[in-house]
Amino acid sequence: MNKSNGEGYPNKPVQLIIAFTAGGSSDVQARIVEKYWKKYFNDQPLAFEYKPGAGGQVGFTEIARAVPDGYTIGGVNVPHILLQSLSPQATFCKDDFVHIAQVVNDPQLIVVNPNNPIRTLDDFIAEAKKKEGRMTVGIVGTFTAHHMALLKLQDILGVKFNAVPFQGSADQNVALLGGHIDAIIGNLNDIMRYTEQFRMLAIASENRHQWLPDVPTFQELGYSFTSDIRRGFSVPANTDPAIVQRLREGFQQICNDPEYLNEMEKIGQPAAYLSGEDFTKYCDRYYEEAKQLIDKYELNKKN
Amino acid sequence: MGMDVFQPLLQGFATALTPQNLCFGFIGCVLGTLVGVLPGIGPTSAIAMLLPLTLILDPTPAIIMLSGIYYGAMYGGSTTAILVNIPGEISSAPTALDGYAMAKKGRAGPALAISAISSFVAGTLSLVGLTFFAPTLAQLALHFGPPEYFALMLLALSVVINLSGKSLIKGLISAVAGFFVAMVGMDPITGIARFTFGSVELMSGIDFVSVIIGLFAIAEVLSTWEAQVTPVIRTKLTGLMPTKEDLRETFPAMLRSTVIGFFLGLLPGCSPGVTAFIAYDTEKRFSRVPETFGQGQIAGVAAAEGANNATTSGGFVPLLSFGIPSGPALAVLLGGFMMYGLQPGPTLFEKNAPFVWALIASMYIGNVMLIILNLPLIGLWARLVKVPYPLLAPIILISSFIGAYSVRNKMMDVWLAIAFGLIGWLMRKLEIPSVPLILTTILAGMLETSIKQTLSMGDMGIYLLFTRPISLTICILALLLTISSLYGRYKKISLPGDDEEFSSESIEYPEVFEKKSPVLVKPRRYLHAPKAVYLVREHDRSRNVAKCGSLRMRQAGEQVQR
Amino acid sequence: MFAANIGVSLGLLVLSGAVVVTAQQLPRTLPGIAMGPGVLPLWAGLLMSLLAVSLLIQNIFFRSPSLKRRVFEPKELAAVGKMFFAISAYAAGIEYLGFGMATCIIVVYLSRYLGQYAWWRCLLFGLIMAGVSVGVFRYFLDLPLPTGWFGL
Repeated sequence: MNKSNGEGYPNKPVQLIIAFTAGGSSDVQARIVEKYWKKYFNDQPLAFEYKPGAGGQVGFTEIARAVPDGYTIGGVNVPHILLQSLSPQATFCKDDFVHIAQVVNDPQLIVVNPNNPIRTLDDFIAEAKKKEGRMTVGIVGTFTAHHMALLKLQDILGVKFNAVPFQGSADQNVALLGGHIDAIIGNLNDIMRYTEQFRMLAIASENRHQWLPDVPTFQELGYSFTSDIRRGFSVPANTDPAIVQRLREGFQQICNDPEYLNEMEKIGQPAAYLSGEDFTKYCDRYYEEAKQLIDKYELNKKN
Repeated sequence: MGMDVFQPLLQGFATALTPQNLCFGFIGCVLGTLVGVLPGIGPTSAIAMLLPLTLILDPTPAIIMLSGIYYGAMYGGSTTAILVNIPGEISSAPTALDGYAMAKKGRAGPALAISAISSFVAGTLSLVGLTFFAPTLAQLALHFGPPEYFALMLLALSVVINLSGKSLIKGLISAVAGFFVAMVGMDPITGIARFTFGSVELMSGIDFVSVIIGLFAIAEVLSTWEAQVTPVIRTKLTGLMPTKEDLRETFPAMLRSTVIGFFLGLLPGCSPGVTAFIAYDTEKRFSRVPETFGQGQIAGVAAAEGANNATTSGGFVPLLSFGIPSGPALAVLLGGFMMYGLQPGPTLFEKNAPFVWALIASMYIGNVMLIILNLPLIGLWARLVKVPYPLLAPIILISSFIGAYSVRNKMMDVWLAIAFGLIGWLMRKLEIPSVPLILTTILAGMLETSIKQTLSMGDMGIYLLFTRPISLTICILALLLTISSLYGRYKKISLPGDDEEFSSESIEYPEVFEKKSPVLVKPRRYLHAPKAVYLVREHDRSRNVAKCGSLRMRQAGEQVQR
Repeated sequence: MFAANIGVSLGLLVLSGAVVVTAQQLPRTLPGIAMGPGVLPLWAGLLMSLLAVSLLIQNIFFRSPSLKRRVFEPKELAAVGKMFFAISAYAAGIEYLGFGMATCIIVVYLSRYLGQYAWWRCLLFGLIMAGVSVGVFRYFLDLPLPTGWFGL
């Protein structure tokens, strides 16, 4: 097809694989991108295809194995794809994807129930030390961004937690609301709904977030700790570089469209554009870090 | 609490009654009924398919329509369960138990009518609960942590004993097989793949939709090919509407199932499927004639259908109050909220009050629409059983396949459904009940998750289950229920003229019980005539006399009513 | 029924054995997580084998006279086998011939075989069913149904 160059691409509808269910955060975000897609890509429609399952692995595998002609792109989540490629049941590796752009950076926070006397991160650390590893911290699944964040946090803060894994952020939030667990590691996007019910102790991003200007970063409090979930778009490896270039340019335009940014704020997802090259660099860095962490805690050990 | 609700609710009605909103509400209800009727295609996929419409529509009509699909599906799900023994939704699986038995006796009409009426009563009553007590109730639901869910799952599992049919061992085998099915795929917490045989598709597990389509729809198609006769009842329909007596009998069942469905529905994770089973079991315990359950007891239909509708309204409480979806369909609906930037949660009631109240009002209106829509349809649906089977079979097959396919847009799920069809057929032949399997398949994930969380919270110990008042209470209740059902079984077996005598499969026995003293009328000799069906005037319980109609061979394909 | 029950229990015994063996290979604990993925399969497998043994014992030692009935008639098996084959062929057909064409074929086949209507009626019915389902599901509801070799 368009082997030679990116000229004229796209000349037919482009398929977009979403690795989560319709109506999920990834889908909602991609729907916003869809609104502006036609404007920057020759007026061709974007056809959604949902391949949910296995924490995104089914869909990501589908993206990695798609025909690399540029007419199948996929929404990817980091660190999901990186951690899944590191697991013993991996069905793709991290180099199976060529990243087009990062669109969302959803930082993680430490959150407690306000009925709890804990007010600051220092209180939290003191309490955790007092409880000698019995402080319950809710995370989402294992071998996930939340799990990695918890393990990293244990090292950085020098305490031990009792991890209580949940199936999703909704369950995790309910358990915290009901006071069944002491704290959670949650994402900004999921927490925004409960800012009045929860007490946010610290945010794991480099700078304070504009939506939560009163919540200090870990950096400010003296701990070098960042953790987040990022959403981006990718094509399978071996896609024509010219097409990749065309896609990267188009996404850059979409992501800087003021109307697009407005809508992203409305849906409560922290938009943060990164070019494909920078996103790839970030992924490589995270991959190395996670590999060390997994080896250290022997997460891949059988039995 | 209370009075200050009326003002916004009235405004909500004013909004919901505008032609545009009314129209979209109606479309939602019709679509809901339709996807409910079609086996396999559930409200979840229907809402997901229509979600892109939210890009065009205003928030209020769009969410009204999508919600209509959700509760409308609960009305439709019972239709095929009653008529052809294929539940349109998982939540209608218990409806099939008695509904289909009623249909076989020519009482499809009353069964359909009662399920619509029960849905309406339960749906509306629980909406009242949603209207007046949403914030309070949401707080109540928060008291349920992982140990409480664990206890609740144990309670739900105790239902298996009552669903086991003739042999307890076979019932339990079916239940454990449900766990086997649920274990395929990733462990719900650690994400480690189990029993996937290296397949990526199987990593996301076996979807309930394939299981239920296989065990019911495809197994049904296989079994009827075997018999080479029409499965659909040739009995004359005896009246389309329920009698006064039916209504009187089922009314308490509707109320009980409303309470059960609504309160369990407040808990995230308790899907309509779970609550319908629990309500069905409860009704059996309350009944003076528990033996008649499974043989066409109208109260069983009312209980199951009431509970699943009450659960749908109950589910809106955590959704609107905390933004917590209690099931996959509501999760997709939550996505719809997000598309509009409507952040559900306590602030929703303050910031977007007109929208919330219009939605709640639209649900009252929707329930009225649904019952107006469904009651006249009964005649039409009941006539569906007259469609010649050679034409009906392909329709069942096509909608089953599409339903299974739409789970993940993969043929894998269709193949799984076919495999379960074969398993379901074998189970029927071997007299292993399939209902416990479905129940445990629904429960397994939540059970495993809650055990793990309880253990994690209690530092590897299970003691939390017994040290927290709510979970301890539920545990004791579960234990009592288990003992009472086991005792009930023991008593039934030691009764003279036990089940075995009734098990000659080809004969269908109607109930010939005197209501006040449940003494079985022993079958007489002529009843052992092979392949014969004997009929009894059903409404005539007072006389305790079985009016035996003429005996006809089943192969003749026609039965004479009285 | 007696022989069938014995067969069921033996089959389940093998199945549960396989489940237990597989469960042994799964981790039973993970760092920081109390219960690994191997625990539930282990218990479910053991429970199933216990049930299988009980069924076996019940059938050998407490034989009930009503169990003499035969479960599988050869004729029945042949008919069910044929139907199962037809259903599987339909599923395979969807992948290779496309949903529309496979649907048309299966409808024609089933209505002809089960109902013995005239050929033209079966054909008409098949075309109508295929048309309606493709229209509704592929075009109206936008379901990406397989198109197969001919794009139908």
